[in-house]
Amino acid sequence: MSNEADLIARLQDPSRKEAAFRTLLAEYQERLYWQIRRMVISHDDADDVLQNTFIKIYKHIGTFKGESKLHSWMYRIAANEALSFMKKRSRRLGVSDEGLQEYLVSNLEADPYFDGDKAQLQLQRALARLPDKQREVFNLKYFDEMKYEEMSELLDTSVGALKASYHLAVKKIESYLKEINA
Amino acid sequence: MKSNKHNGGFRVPENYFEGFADRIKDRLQASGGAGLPEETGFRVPGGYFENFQDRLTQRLAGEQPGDSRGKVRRLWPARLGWTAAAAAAVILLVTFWPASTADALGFEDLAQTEIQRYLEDDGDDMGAYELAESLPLEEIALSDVLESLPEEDQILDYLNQDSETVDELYWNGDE
Repeated sequence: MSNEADLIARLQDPSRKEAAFRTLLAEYQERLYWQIRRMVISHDDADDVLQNTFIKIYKHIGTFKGESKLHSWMYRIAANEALSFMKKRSRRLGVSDEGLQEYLVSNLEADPYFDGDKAQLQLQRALARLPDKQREVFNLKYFDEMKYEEMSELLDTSVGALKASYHLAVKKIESYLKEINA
Repeated sequence: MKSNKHNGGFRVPENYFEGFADRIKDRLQASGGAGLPEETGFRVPGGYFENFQDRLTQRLAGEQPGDSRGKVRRLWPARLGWTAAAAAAVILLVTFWPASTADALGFEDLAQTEIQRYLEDDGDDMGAYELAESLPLEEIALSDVLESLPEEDQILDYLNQDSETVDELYWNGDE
């Protein structure tokens, strides 16, 4: 039995669930945190979404059938949590999804948990202007250096469509950076 | 390299796609002036990941029924509770039984606005333009957009009928 299969078996066994959940947290909390953080931008929001994600994982691990990798399943929960969190936030503020992204990035300079330089800030501004899907694909490819095949399982999208999204994202970022640095 | 009928005979250099992502990354870094950063610049408070497990465990314990909550004392004796429940059930049955069998709600009873709201709130956010942008052309076949493919005769008829319209596109009125 592989390590992952063994972990899943322990997570689905009530008598061993608590200990297995601690192992799961230790192994995945950081990876999921950064994936969420890049979506919601602020640390406090990322913390909320990460907690909600793991609570959902804990409650629903019994229904996990093992048809995908454990990380893919958890990533989809995290991405859904982050997206619904952002949607609620944009409704509350009365702005569009794109408007919210730009608003969040405009607050980055004053964020105590952002110490990026000018280039990092410019990249975040460029990313805020991308559609959700393209930003997600760019983040996974550029920062996580994820393979298209893995991303394809994660996002349930064909490799061809992912390459197209990444290519378009890069073109848009490139053109934005040229424009502001001209 | 494996040939593909959609490639129309064109070929790409060996390992072209394997290094494609890296080449784009290099080009992107070159276009950023000082170079595109490898990191996001985001930080976390000190000890955040070390303490996360304990904070989450506390929250989970709070959500588990009976784990950390105090014992719930009954406001009503058990027998009285059953009597009240039975009485309420009889009242509900008498009040709603005829209506519930005659007017069962169906999908068509949903208001148009409810359906629209559901699609707006829960549907995929990609608009038609974005969708078209994200789909590579080689993945779209004519059969995906047409219910049935036209016969060759129909295509020729259409082209003959509309040849004047096409001419209008190429010739200006003053010529």
